[in-house]
This record gives sequence, C-alpha cells and structure tokens, in this order.
Amino acid sequence: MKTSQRASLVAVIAMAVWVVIGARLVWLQVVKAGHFRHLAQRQHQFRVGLMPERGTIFDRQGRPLTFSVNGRRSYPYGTAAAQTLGVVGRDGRGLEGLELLYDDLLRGQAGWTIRQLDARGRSHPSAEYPRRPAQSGGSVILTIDADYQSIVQQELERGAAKHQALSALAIVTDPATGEILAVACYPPVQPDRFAESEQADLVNKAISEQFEPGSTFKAVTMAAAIEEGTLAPEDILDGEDGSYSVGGHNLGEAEGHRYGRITVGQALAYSSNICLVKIGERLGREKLYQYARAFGFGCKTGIEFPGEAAGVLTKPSGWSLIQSANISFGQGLSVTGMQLAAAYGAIANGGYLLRPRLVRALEDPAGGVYHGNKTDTLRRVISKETSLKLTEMLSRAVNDSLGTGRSARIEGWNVAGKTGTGQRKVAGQRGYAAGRYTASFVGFMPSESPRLLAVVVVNEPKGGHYGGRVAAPICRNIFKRAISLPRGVAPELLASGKPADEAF
Amino acid sequence: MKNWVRQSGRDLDLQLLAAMLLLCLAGVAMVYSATQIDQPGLSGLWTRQLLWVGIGLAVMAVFAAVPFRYFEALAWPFYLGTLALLVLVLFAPAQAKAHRWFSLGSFNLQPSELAKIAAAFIIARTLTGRALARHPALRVAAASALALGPMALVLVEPDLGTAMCFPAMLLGMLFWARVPIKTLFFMLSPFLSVLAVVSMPSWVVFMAVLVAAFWFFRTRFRLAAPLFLLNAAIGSLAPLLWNNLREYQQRRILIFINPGLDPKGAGWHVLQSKIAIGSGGLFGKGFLEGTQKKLSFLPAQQTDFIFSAIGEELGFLGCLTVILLFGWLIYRGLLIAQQARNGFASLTVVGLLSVLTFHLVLNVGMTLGLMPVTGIPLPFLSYGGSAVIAMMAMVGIVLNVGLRRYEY
Repeated sequence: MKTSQRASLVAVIAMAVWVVIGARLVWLQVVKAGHFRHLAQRQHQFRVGLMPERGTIFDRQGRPLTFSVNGRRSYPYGTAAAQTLGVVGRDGRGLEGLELLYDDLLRGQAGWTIRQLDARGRSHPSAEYPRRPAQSGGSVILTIDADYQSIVQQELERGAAKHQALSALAIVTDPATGEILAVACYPPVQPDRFAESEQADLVNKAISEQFEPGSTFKAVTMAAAIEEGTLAPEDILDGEDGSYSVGGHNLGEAEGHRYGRITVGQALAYSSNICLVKIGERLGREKLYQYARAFGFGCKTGIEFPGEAAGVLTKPSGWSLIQSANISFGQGLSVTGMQLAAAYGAIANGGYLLRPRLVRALEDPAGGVYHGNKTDTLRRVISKETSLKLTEMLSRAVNDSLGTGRSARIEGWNVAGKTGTGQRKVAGQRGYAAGRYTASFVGFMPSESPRLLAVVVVNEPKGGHYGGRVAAPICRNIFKRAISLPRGVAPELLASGKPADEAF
Repeated sequence: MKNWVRQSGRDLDLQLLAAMLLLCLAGVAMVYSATQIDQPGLSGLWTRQLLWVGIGLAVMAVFAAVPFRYFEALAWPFYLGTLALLVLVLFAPAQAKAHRWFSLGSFNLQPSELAKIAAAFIIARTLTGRALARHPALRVAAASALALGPMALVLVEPDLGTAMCFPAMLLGMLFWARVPIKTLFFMLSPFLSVLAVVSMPSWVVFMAVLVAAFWFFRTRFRLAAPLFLLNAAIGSLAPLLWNNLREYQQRRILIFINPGLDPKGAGWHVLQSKIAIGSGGLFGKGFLEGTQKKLSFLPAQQTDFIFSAIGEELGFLGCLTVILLFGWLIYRGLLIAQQARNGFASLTVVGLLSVLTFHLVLNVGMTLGLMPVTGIPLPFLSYGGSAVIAMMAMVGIVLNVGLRRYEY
C-alpha cells in the first residue's frame, strides 16, 4: 500500500467522523431543538406567585386599625380591638375574627410572574416575561370608633387589673342603631405577636363566651311583666324579710339584705331576688321564656363575626319550680355580652331588638362600596311605654341612694343601668364553683334619649365580687371619658339629633 | 537568505494558519461570552486567553522557524526531559485532586502537553531511523513502548483523556508509516475483544472475524496461535472479572461509558450540554444570549464545555463552522504530511494531527453525548494557557514542515 492510498483511507475515515458529528448536530439542534428548548425553559423559568397587599380595616372615622406594608400587618392602636380584628397567619391568611370572616375580601388577588432561576437557584430578573400583578385586598370599615375603643380598652384593663380578674370584656354600642362603638377583652393581646398569647385570650369573649348573667337578666323578667300588664312599677311586693322557699329550696338576697314591702321599682333598683321570683311566678314560665327568646337570648344575635355563641336557654316545659325561679333572677341560663347589649338596647331604644353591627361598609379594591350602613331591626319586643318605664326603673337603680348601680352615677347626666353577679360554673364540675363570680353591669345614657350603652363583664374578680362594686365603676369611667371627648357624646350620633324611635 | 524568505512566503500554509487563527479568536470570544455570568472573578478571563494566544503565536513562530532536523536530532533529550517532568509532576502539590500541573505563579505548566510533542518526535525518529530498519516488528514494538511510557505516567496523574492521546498518536503514526493493516489489526485485537465481549453474539462474531483475518492474511501459526489464545482468554476472563466487581464499581464503569444512566450525577453535565446545544437550534440564541450558559447550568463552560456554549449561542451554523474550520485545518495538515519529502517530518505532522483530531473528536463527542466525559480541552477554543500554547506550537511544527516540504 502506498502513501497516497493511506492518505485516501485517512480522508475516508476523517470524513466519516465528521459526518457522524454533523449528523449528531443535526439531530440535537434541528430535529430535537424544540424538545431541548422546552427542557431548557422548564429548567430555568419558574412561575412565582405575587402576594397581594392585604387590605385595611378602618374605624368608623376612616382611621386604620390595621393595615399591611410589605406583607407585614401593622396595628397603629396596639392592643385595641385586637380580638375583634383577629389575627393573620404567616401565610397571609386570616385566622381569627374579622380577618378570618372577611379574608376573601381583605386578602386580594394573588398575581404571578415568571422568574428566571440559575443552576444554584438564585433569581435573575428578566423583563421579557409576562406577569400578572397582584391585586391588593379591599377594606372593611367598622362601626368601631378608635377613640371609644381606646377608652374602653384602658378602663377595662385598669378595672380588671385592680380586681385581679381572670378575664373581662366590655362592649359599647349605640342603642339607637345597634352599632358597636367598641369591644374590648381582657387580658389584652398584641396582635402582631399573637403567637405569644394563650389561644383563649385571642377569642373575642364579648361574642364567643357565655356566662350566667345573674341580676342583669332581671330587667328582662321585669320588662315582660310590665309589657304583659302583670304588674305596674308602683305595685307593692312583699320581700318576705329576705327568706323565701320555692319547691323546698330556700332563697335569700345578696349580701344578706332583707326587704319588707317594697315597690316593683324598688325591687329592681335593689335587685331583690325574692321579689323577682314572685314576679316570675305571676308571669308564668311560658311568658318568661317567650320574652327571653324575644329579647334574643338562646340564639345568636347574627353579628358579623365568626364563632358567635348562642347562649343556653332551655325549653320551659323542662323547668323545675326552682329552675324557673332561678331564671327569673338570671341564674340557670347563659348569655353572651353581645346578647345583653342587644337586649338592653331594646329597652333603651323604645322596644326594638336590633342586630348588633360591627361592620359599616365593605369596599372592594376598586373602591366600590357594596355593603352600606343600615340599621337592621329584628323585631319589636316591648312597647315604647314599657321601654320608658323600664328605663325609669333602671335609672333608679343608679340614682337611688340604695340602688345597686349607684357607683355608675355621673354628675349632671342621667345614667340607667343594672348590676349583675352570676355564679360561675367550672368545666368538669357539678353545680356552681364556690367563690367564683361573674360581676357585670349594663348601663346606658342619657336616659332621656340613650345613645351610649355599655356592657361590662368581669370574670372572677378578687376582693368584692359584686357587679355594683366591680363592673359599675368601669362603666362609669368609660361613660365619663366618652362624654368628655372633644366631639362630645357619641360624636356624630348625637349630632344627628334623631330620637331613638324616629330612627326606624 | 532572501531566497528563503521568498520561498517561505510561497510555502507558508496561510489557509492552515488562517483556520487556526479564526479558531483562536472564536475561542477568545467564546471565553468572553462564557464568563459574563453572575460569578465573581471570571469576567476578565478572556484577556488572559488573549494573552495566551499572543504567547502561543510567538511560540508557534519559534517552532516554525527552527529547521525540523534539529527536532530530530534533539528528539531523545527532549523526550527524556519531558519524561522526567512527568515523573516530577507526580510529586507536585495536587490541584483539583490531580498531579497534572506545576504551579508557576499565575501560570500552570502542564508537562503532558510537552510530552505529546516529544512523543511525536521520538516515535517519528524511531519509525524512520536506520537503527531498526531491518527489523520492522521490533521497530513497531519500540515505537509502541515509547508511546506507552508517557501514557502510563499521565495515567497516574490521573488524566485519562490526555493519556489516551498517546495511543491515538501512535496508531496514526504507525498507519502513516505504512505498518501493514493486519499488524495494526492484530495489535488492536486484544482491545477490540474487550469491547466485543459485552455480549456473547458480538464476541463470537469478533472471534470469527479474527480467525478469518488469520486466514486472509495467511498469518503464520506461531503468531496466530498465541494471538487467538490471548483473545480467547480475554473473552472468557473479562466476564469473570466483571462479575467479581462490586455493583457500584460496575455502575461506575457503565456510567462512564453511558453517562445518560446517571442524569443527576455524572450524566448531569452531558445532559446540560445537550440541552444547551439542542436549545440553540439552527441559528442559536445569539452571542452572549445563551440562557443555559448565563444561568450557570452549563458546567466548565469556558473550558471543557465551550463547544456547548457555541452550540447554544451560535446554533447549528456556528457548530458547523467550527467543525469545518477544524476539518480544513486538519486537511491542510495532511496535505503537508503527504507532500513532505522527509519521513521524520511527515510522520511528526501526522502524529500531531492525530493528537489534534483525538482532542477534537473526544471533546466534541463528549459535549454531544457521544463520548464519555474525560475532561479534555477543545483545541484553540477552551480556556487554558498550557493547552493553547502547546496546540499552537504543534501548528508551528506543521507549518515548519510545510515550509520545508521539499527538503529531504
């Protein structure tokens, strides 16, 4: 074989090698190019969600109670209304309260973008990719007034701390409209550090916790009796000198009081258990039940809030004699603070049971308001006359020198109200727990045309457990500071000047 | 003197030189592109590569100017000197877990690059010298031994890809030295039988071909018998050996042969290279625009996998251009080898071209998923001083022979 032959052979072999490489290039870059382009894309392009900015919850005057900046929830008023606003989890979803209820509205619409990631997973910006921006959440405008809320929060905290209470709650509403101006719970929680709080403290106790009301319920028994004409305020009742037997059970008065013959009005003002039992007996258990239901006990008020408790009010057919007597003065049933606010609201506003309202309006992200501010009347419970009589009697409870609510008195103003001291049950234990009480007070003012109503409930206070001593002063402090606000009593509410019954 | 310069102007292979320069410049450009990524300290590498090309041109000029008979005369000291360096480098501090380089400040000297040139000289001298002219079999044996020496040392470094350059060079030179095809075939037969033994039918076919070759070439019995026995022994021992390997050892070998078996490990680089090249398509994504390169999916994209970056950014047309430039360079080189009247010079050229071709095929084959991953640079294009300068020196020698093609 000569060199030229070898050279030809080399040329043939080389050509073959080049053809193989060329063919492989064609295969990879022409035939399978689409496939590899797809693989490349899948490797470095990732669809990433864009988190929307959560919407704001405003107070009734348009001041933000909570808003989001860069994904973080801020609370300009600190602990104020924390349990009402609720909390937002790390994933940006509402977990409790209004944040949970209006999560869909507040959360907004997530968007997406395509992110370019390198082999180490680092992101590289690229403007060429399509994206859909996130849409911020809408807002919720509450009936809550931040000024009222701050006052209620401070006064409740001070009062509850003074009595070393286990827990406490306070509600301030406008009885003419059913709007809630403030809801506070004790112990307070820091909403931005909610994980550090007990789960029980995150619950809005005013709406979700039920308790035996005690004497505050007497106003309901009384309202039923007056409405039904069973009794008039001036009628005389025998207090039985502080000892009365029902169905083999001996009943007495609180603090060892003994009353002789007193008027029906005095019976409520002094909070006589025996007289109220007698009124209940005359009224009959069916009527008592019927009115309790009419005032909204035993069922949810329908407030816009998740996890509302209904309270417990059993059917009268099952009541024993002593049960029926107990219910007359507020033991043997349980209620929520919000139910008390609504029921007393009906007494204060001329007889209408209104659905308590927490939300004034909802605004979608485009700014459209789709839930206006409207009073929601559930039913008429008592007549205007009865409501006036009850208001008069409740004023006496505050203004009478022997009235149980006298520590709620405010100089120059006419306050009406009723104290309550309920015995408490402890989970897993039969009967009432010794020495554990729920001290409460429900008051409203001014009695001539009530526009402020407060429910104060203090659980397990130490050193003086009666509602008159523990809860009434808190209510007075709240009222006093509320009326001294620069804008006066219930700012724009009183300014509207509408008497309660004309609101409908 | 004047005459020589005029003749040089005529005989200097400008086409070969142009092909090489284009490849070098493409290399600088692609090193630039491959290092414009989000990694600190890389973006200036192209200036260094440009410097290597400059130095390489000077070295090339020197190797082109020195009359090639000096190379022949100095073949032994050069060869022994590089062997000494190959031994010494084994005691140099390891870099990247291998003893391949001497560290000279910022420059890493790779003696195996020198060894390729030295081996080409010594093999060419052995195959053309008068010493063993009467004993062709001994001459082949001596040339083979001279190639296997540096191969063994490089294998120890370890550097499998570079080590395999030596047998590739040997094969090319033996072929060019008109060693009979049958001798080459019989020399290669043990290695071929290792490859054939992967399955029973292929091995049976191979043994049949071997026997047919004995008959066809009328091989003498005393040569055919031991060869047959050797191949039979390999054929029967290899499976035994294979079965005695641990499973992970078997797997390692299989993955070396076919990286696709391990797409998340060894096959990752090849897969990424194929994705980059394939996604480049016909025209590529444009210079500097390669996403796989930019986002660091390509491994060693300025060195061993620079061809993948070319494929991604310049597409099929870019790849084809590079391949054709190499083809043209090698073609022009072979023309010189064919025209050279001096046997030593002609053989040296073929040896160096064999190394070049081996680098090209192994590197490009690796990026295309046709060859195992051995980590061998693409001549003129991959970043790296030793490789660029050595390759340009080789071209210098080829040009040298071209200039003196009419000298005996």
